[in-house]
Amino acid sequence: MNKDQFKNLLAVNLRLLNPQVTDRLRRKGKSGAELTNKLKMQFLLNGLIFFLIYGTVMLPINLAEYPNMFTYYVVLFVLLAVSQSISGIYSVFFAGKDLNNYLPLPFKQKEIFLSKVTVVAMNVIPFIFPLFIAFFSTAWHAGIMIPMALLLSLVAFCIILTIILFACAIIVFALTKTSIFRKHQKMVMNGLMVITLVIAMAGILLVNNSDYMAGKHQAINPIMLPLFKTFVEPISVISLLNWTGLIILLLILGFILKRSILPHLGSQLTSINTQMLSGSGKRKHVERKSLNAILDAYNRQVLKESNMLLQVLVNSVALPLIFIISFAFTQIPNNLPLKWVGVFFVGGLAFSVFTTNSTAVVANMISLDRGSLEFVSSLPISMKQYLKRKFLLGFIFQIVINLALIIVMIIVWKLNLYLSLSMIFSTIWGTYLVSLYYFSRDYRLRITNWTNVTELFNRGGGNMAIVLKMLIVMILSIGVIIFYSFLIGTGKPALVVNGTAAFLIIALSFIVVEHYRQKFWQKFE
Amino acid sequence: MIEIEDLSKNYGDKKALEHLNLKIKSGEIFGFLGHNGAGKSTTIKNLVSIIEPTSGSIKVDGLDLQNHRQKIKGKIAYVPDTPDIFLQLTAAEYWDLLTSAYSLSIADVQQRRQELVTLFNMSEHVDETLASFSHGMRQKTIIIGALLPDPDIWILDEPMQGLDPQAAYDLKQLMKKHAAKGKTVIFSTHNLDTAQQLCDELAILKKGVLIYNGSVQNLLDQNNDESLEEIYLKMAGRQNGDGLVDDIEGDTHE
Repeated sequence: MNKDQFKNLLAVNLRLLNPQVTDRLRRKGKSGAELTNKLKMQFLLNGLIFFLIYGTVMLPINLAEYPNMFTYYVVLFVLLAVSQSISGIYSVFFAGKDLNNYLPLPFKQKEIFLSKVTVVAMNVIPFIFPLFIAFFSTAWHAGIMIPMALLLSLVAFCIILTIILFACAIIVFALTKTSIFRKHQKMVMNGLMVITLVIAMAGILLVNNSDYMAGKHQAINPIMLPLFKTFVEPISVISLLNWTGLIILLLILGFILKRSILPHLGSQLTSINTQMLSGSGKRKHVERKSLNAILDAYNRQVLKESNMLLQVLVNSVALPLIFIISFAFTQIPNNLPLKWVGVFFVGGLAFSVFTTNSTAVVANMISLDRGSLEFVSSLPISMKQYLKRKFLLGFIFQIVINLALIIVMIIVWKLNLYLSLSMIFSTIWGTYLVSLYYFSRDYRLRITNWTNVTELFNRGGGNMAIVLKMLIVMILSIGVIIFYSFLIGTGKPALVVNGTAAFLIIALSFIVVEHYRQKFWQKFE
Repeated sequence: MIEIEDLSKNYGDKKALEHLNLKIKSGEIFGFLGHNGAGKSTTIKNLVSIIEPTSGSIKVDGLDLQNHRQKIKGKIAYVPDTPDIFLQLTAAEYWDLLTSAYSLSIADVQQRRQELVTLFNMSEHVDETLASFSHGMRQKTIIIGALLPDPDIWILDEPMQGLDPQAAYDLKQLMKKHAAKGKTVIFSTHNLDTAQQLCDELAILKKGVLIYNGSVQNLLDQNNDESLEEIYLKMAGRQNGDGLVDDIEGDTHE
């Protein structure tokens, strides 16, 4: 391997992956190798923070005693890794605007592949880090010494992640060779994502149906048994067979990649680039009379031209759904009286905060404009009107996603009418408030020269921040809902409790709306 | 030697390039002339592996590009028509990337890099990102990067765009110097003066079809008493009097 090429390509991609951190470090005078090292250190530091956060939550659970719970975690995070890897590989290799920059350069194919896959891995790791904690926790609770447990978990985690990345790369690269992909690129990729998502959901539901609090002597998913034994009884025949199986699988996938994908990587990327540039760019002219109609049509086209929707599907739908689904499919009493309406309203608000993140359409509408925004400010049209149309489209997009998810949950929980309506209204209202935040954030952190939507999503703290935010929102929401339920359930006067909650929600809403009216919208008047 | 044989390229229904046949010899400066959409950039993008042709082939020193892409890429350095690439890198980081792409060590290119940085007045900007540069500064950064590997074939798409007069003059001198070393320089331009000053040979394209291939002098000799501009417009310009500027102004001021 040409280490120098790999190092340089990785350095470029690290900067792409962390645009905000890179800017901050550059302002401190960092550049070249020093900047690259700082970015790597930042990644490791984030890993440590994750270890502490997930560790605090997960380490007390004795997974060695609950093999089905171990299975649940493994399936959950492996499926999450698969959906993230597929969209990541497609986005990094085939949907980036930087493909033209690499193609004329004589980089070695292996180095391009490895540097890009490393970037995908760095993007996926924050989402599946709990898998590592699950391995460590199981080994540690099984009585294995901490350094040994750490080593065992780390090696297993790396091997499994590499297997997933290699397998997904083979799937995506094989798919891009098909004639149907050449004709309907976006449709095929979106289809693949939907299939991955459905499989993920089905898998989670399947493992969720089993009693994961069952003890270690009870039935365990036979596929997962060898992996479980690897951490509980590392020195055993079954563990040895498991390691051998994993390594053989890794070698087979590596061999397929080396033989079938890498030798043709350059040609394949040129070929895909040619297809992307080969569209005639023609579109039938539709006469639109009002400025709003023209702006709406333009905004819809901006969305179509990026790889955004595929990413939104994964990050804005799959991720929250996977996190929420285990909670949603637990039993919730559905015949609760009217006094519980406030608790469900808060639940809906929390849900919308949870699902609307920096990968949402509304959080990227302004940056998707690239240089056009600057140009529009020179035109004799109201910038406020221009931005409002963008906000509206992004908000509607998010509302459709959130409402679809909440309606699924309402059906699964079989909620009665007033609880359902409460959740629906609060989801709409919560989505509006969070959309305000993300839209103004997009303006504040706007990038007009982005090469890849991943770069847009990684503004602020990147994937680490998304996962951290989800964890914090989940913990806080659960805390608030438990406290609220406690007050309602223990016979406190419902009118007073709900009245206070309503007052707090109205006051908070007023503060948020007024804040963005004064600090954001008023700027454009 | 570059041999382009029967090269065609379609974008959807649109024929961008039709049955192009050309031979470009080593050691010459070869120019592509043509209006917007004539097929200049399409030909160049095929040469530098950004796109694949619909049909036809390209051979470099006898090697077919389709089958020896990696090897041929190592011989070519490219300056794109829009210099908005690797914007997140500083100029120095960009040059390091190029150095490693061509499997060279920083020590190998140190001297050349320093000379070019000084020539293009970039010394104070090496640690600034390309995103913070003007169009011209980005162009200079990319030109320096392209020359670091001292490529056998240097391909530039509309290279004079955005350059200040001094930088444009320096670039022309560099192109001449590069060709004088026996290496090939290929560029596209709209500027007829530049073409006349630099080209040993040129190709004029019109709507994807080659309408002239030969030396500038030959073209002038064939059309006595006419300037290159007049000859070029006669060949590649409008075929009738429709849509003249005067008409537009007349309408506007009525």
